[in-house]
Amino acid sequence: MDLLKTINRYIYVARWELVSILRDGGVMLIMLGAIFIYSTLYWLVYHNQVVREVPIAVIDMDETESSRGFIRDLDASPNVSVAFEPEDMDQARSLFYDRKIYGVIVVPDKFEKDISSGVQTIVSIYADASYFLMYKQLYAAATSTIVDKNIKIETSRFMAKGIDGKTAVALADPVEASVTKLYNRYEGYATFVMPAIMVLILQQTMLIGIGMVNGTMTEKGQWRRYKKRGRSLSALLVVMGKSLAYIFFAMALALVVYGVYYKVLGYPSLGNELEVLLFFMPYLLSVVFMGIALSTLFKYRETSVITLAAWSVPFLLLSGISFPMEGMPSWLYALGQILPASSAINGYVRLNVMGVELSDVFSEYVWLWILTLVYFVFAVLMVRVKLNSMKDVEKMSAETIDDNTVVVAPEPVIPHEVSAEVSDKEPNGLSERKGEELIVYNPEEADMFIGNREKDNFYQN
Amino acid sequence: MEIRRGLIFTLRRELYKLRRLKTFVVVVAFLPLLSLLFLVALFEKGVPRDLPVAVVDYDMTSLSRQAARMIDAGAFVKVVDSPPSVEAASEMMDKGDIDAIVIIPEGLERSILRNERQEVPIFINGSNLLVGSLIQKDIVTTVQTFSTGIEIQKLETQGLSPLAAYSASLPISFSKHVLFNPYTSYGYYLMPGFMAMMIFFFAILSTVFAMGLELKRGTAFKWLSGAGHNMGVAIIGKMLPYTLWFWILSFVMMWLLYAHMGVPMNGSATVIIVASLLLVLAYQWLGVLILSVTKSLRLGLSIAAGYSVLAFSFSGLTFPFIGMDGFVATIGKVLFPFTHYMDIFVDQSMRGAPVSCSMPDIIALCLFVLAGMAVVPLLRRLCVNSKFWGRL
Repeated sequence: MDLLKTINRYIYVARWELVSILRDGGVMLIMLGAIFIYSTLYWLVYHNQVVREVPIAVIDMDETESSRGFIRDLDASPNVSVAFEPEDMDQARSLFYDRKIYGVIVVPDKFEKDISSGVQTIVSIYADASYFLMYKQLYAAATSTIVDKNIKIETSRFMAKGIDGKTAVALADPVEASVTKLYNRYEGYATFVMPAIMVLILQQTMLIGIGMVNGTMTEKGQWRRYKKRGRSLSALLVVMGKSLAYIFFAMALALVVYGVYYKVLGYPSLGNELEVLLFFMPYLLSVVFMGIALSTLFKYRETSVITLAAWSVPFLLLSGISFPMEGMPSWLYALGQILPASSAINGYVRLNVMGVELSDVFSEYVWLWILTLVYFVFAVLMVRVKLNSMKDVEKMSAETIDDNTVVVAPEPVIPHEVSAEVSDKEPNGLSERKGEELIVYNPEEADMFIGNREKDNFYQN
Repeated sequence: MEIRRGLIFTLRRELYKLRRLKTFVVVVAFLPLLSLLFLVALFEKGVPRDLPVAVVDYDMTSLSRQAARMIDAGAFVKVVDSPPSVEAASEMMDKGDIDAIVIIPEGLERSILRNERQEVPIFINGSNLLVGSLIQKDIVTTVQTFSTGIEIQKLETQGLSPLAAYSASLPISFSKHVLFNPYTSYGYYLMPGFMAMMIFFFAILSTVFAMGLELKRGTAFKWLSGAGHNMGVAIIGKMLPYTLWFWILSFVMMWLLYAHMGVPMNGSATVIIVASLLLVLAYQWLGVLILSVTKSLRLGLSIAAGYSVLAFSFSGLTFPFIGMDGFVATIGKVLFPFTHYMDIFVDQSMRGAPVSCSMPDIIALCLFVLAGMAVVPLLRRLCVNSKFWGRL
């Protein structure tokens, strides 16, 4: 009998939470819409994946067959394109300031002569490092063109001494580095950042959404629902009930986002789907419990947006994806591990981009379960504190009015009809405080601002 | 006179209201500062060092060991292990312990002595673009140096002087001039963008919040009448404390960047200071626009937050405009004042471009302010009509 009662209450909490989510357009926009909107917009920005044909200028001070050949080789590289051949550095500089070029290469005087007479010639590379992707392309194109050219020149020198072609190449370049880029062969930018961003968005939108639902409840004084009619619910039950709704929601969302939309956008998904799903379980759970714990702190509906939204970028950095952990202080990286997204991103990228097995991300997986447990306990404690603070129902309602103080300007001075109906409908229509309107005119405040003389002046307008 | 009194009154009213919005004050005052400090801590090192790689040495000769030592000495990588086989190494990569595998094939020394060309396969985890390209640059340069070293030795045995051997081994050499970011520090390059984004995120959010709250709590008419029924005065008076605060924060940002982190300042600091003020204003007036169009505090906040987070990706700072589709690049320039601010920043701070170069961007920032001002009548309508009040 008792068990039945508990289950009933549990379902009551969960159902009410779910209804609160589904009936609230603002919450739905953040928890459901945002992840699709963001991933689509980011796709628009990054979908070309690579920057090819970075425009550069070449100053040819030699103007011989060799120097022109060298410039042609450079231009043939997919990474850069020789867009201008200015006369001197001044012209190049103004092209550069106009953002028409992102680097300058100077082929020196006597380029051809020096090469044929065996004197080393020096090509100058001026690369703009204020835009890194372009710097990288220019540098790679210039160095590889020079290295190839060197091997060719040396080989022909050796061959001129009567050495056979194969040995000549071996003498010119005894050890060759042959690089294979695994998992992101074409160095795509979207392939690099998007899996991480999409995992992070889920954490951010869930935290903000949960904060919004519970902040609204606090603002409207609806947490008292759990203490009504003598059926005081335990914090454990409230957390279990609330989380059931969010987990249900997050699971459904994750299936659509990572199971379908992620693939539609064409990001790598080499992982075993069941394993990815298993990996996501503790991630979603820990995010939901963390969200419930944090949400007890929010007094208003909008508090979660203004306090949490700004952190998306720092959180992404903390995960060590867009800026590697080897580059940041280790204490900061360790601190970042309290966020479920940090481990989830690292695990997800390895599972889905590299295609490793769940056993290879075991440490991340275990850590996420530990976080789940920790945040669960944290959520129960926070909810308990919140419920306990509402023991005194009389005091509580006074506080609610204070929180919601709606100051309406004095009747006669307002040209339009003022009824200022503060809509206080509860999302599921099971309103328990219907008709309780919180229109309080606070004369003290009005006096503070409007001295009598000023009042006359302004209101006669 | 009327305007001045309205302005002062609105300002005093706003400051009075702030006393009762403690969370909001904390958010506006301390979160941006905290995030600046966070970014300083994060980028203090600037460049990732000691990226973990494994060397699988199948040759086991003194030459191959020398190669492994040279790789370890590279600026960005560290040889953390020498597993016995490629399989063992690839398992390490799966577990995330290493980011690259260098395989030194059996017979390296022997084939070099026999004048045969030898290949050194290098497998790099490319899933992290930044890590992958740093490792590639580092190891490939090392292998090339190693190769050149062998060649020089061989040329010397043929009787060439060391200098002649060196210049014969590199007919074309190059001198690299890294412009504007001498240490190719990721901090120099990413930090200004992230810092500006964090500060101005709160600039737009605070505007929407402060004004939206008047609508939500039904005090909008009082706000307007307090400013003598002049909507423009009402907006400016309300925004003024925030304008000043965020402008001050931009000075803090510059102090951290230039004095603390040593980011180069090659151009006109005045232009950046003016641009910072203009960007604060542009963001605030865009906040006015967003609120006027969405007509609700909550929706306005969500959109303002989403918009200003997106600004970074659309600024072309990390993934450049020339890599985007034309219309996406246009969106980035037309819808986001942040793009112009960053252009000014790069032009003046890094590149030391002439001031005239930044004028189009300054004008663009002014246009954003004007766009926000155009909707003042719309906001006025919301303030005088109670049907727009009390919405969540």
